Amino acid sequence: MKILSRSEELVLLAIWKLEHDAYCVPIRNRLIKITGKNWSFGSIYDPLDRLEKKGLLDSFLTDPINERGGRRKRIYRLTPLGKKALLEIKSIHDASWADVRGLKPETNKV
Amino acid sequence: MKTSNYIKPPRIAEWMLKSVYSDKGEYTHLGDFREVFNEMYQGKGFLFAWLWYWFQVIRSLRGFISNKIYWSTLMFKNYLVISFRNIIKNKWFSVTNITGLAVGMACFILILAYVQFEMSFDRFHEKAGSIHLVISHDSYMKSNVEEYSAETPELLAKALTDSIPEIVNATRIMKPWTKKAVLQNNEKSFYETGLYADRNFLSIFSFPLIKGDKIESLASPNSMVISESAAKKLFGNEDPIGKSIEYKERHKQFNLHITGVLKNSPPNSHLQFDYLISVPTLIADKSNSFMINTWDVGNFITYVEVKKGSKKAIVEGKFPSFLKKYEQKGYQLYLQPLKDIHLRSHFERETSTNNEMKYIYLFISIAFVILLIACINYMNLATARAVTRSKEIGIRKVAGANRTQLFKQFIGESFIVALLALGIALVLIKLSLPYFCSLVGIDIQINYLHNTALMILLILTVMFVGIASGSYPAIVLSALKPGNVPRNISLLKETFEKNSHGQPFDFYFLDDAFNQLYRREQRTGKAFGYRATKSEISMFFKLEGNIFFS
Repeated sequence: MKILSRSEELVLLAIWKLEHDAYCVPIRNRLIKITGKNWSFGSIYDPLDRLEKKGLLDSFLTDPINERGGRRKRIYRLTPLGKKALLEIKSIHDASWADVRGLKPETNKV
Repeated sequence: MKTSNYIKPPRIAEWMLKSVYSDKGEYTHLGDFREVFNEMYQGKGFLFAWLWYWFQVIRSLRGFISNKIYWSTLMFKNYLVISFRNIIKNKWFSVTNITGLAVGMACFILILAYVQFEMSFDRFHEKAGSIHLVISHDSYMKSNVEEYSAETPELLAKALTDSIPEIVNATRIMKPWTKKAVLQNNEKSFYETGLYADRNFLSIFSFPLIKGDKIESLASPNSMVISESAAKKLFGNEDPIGKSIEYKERHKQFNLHITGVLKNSPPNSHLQFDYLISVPTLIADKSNSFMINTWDVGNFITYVEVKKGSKKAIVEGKFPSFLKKYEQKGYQLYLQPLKDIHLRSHFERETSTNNEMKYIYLFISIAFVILLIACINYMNLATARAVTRSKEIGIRKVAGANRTQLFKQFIGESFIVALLALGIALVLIKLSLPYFCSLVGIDIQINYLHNTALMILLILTVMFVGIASGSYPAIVLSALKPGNVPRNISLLKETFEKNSHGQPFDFYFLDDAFNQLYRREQRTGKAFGYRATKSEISMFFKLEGNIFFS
């Protein structure tokens, strides 16, 4: 299996964290809060679709909701494969950050 | 979120957003956008939310449109490739088909070019709309013959301008006594046709002068204007202005000097001449006095220019009192519009032999019948061949093509054929134009780029042929149901086996396509474009299996 991309990883983590209410709006809100950057809806639908196609996510639909103009919510869950992928990326992160030293914010300044 | 404060996003924007993304038919994203829209409305106000929503839509539109363009060009390419393959695959079929269409189109265009030429007569004059020919209607007591004649007395032109205010200007011409006269410059002499013309002839009619003055060149006795080609013949490259010429007719002989050079008269003019001799020349000649300054002899042809906007009938209504004023009896006067002279007038002693409108209508209908027959021929052949293409249609349908797409494909194919046929037709026209011209006896120049009407006609012809010949196959073929295709194929197979002497035929690609499709249906639980039911597909397999793989 290919290594997850950064956006896929962030989305997967957000879904894991949000547990039972993981549909697009809270996922996006959470990502905006964490990263401090603006995420468009497109940049969330896209990894969601991709992850679902890969089998790392599955989704189900709620009943139609009035406030949403009679539209359903599509709520996502991690599949076992998704959990495995997250753990894998974590171990990759840990391993790659383990022996990095001396990286401080000042060094980035030119 | 309070339900009382709940508002809807802009409707058009929502509709656009809906067409951008479907989320497998659930449109959950619309709900997401609504939620955020309402949050923004409560936090930052309506305008901000509204702007945000529109901004999102417009931003997503760019990708949507480029995506659409990408896929439609891809499909377009595929259609092009398929249709060219089909054309090449069925060589003889295509050759008969395209040449049939091309010959039909060539006939159509040639005939309509002829019609256009005939209809264009005398339209090039700037004042074409207001110039009229004066017709006299005699009823001779002796012979009881009624006669409409183009010839009128010499005095008429001046009298008309003097006493009828609607007539602005009038000019007279006269035909020479012999059809051809001799123009002689020293030892060079040629037979030419021409006219005697009044001094204002060239200011009423727009025959362009190359050299000389519009009015002065025909104002004095013994002056003459000749055409470019006559000047070339008589004087070569010398400047003909001021040169003198010997002019000989049956009874007449003048020594004329040249005061102007005209462009050759256009082929679509009812007046055809290589020289114009001034009317004062006639008046100065004593032997013509019998027809000058009299009402009794009508030898001239009179054209009048009517004031812009005044109706022909009103002017004609003033003729009886006009004739009474000048004490003329025994004949009436009428007007014939210049534009109608070539196709709608049949008078005695006219300057040209004219065509008739009914022949023009006849030609137009013949042209359309020829084109229609060519189209029907194409339709016939295309429909006959269509059965062999039902398997392609079946696959396209099951793979998600809808009816409009198939319709477009077949119409597009017949457009390609029509365009090819047009190309061949243009070559055919180019080759056959000289023969056609000698057949109809006129010199038609087909100048496509300067002839907007013809260009439009060509485009319309291709459209007509494309739609007329492609519509029936397109409708029939796009209506085929995938469930019926196997039956069609089984029919086809029988005929094919008969024709191919029992050689095996490869239908494996069908098996493969449907296998893939079936797997996809199984996986997703839903067909994407075409909603083929499982029973339909399995029926397909059964039939196919029974027929082809048993």
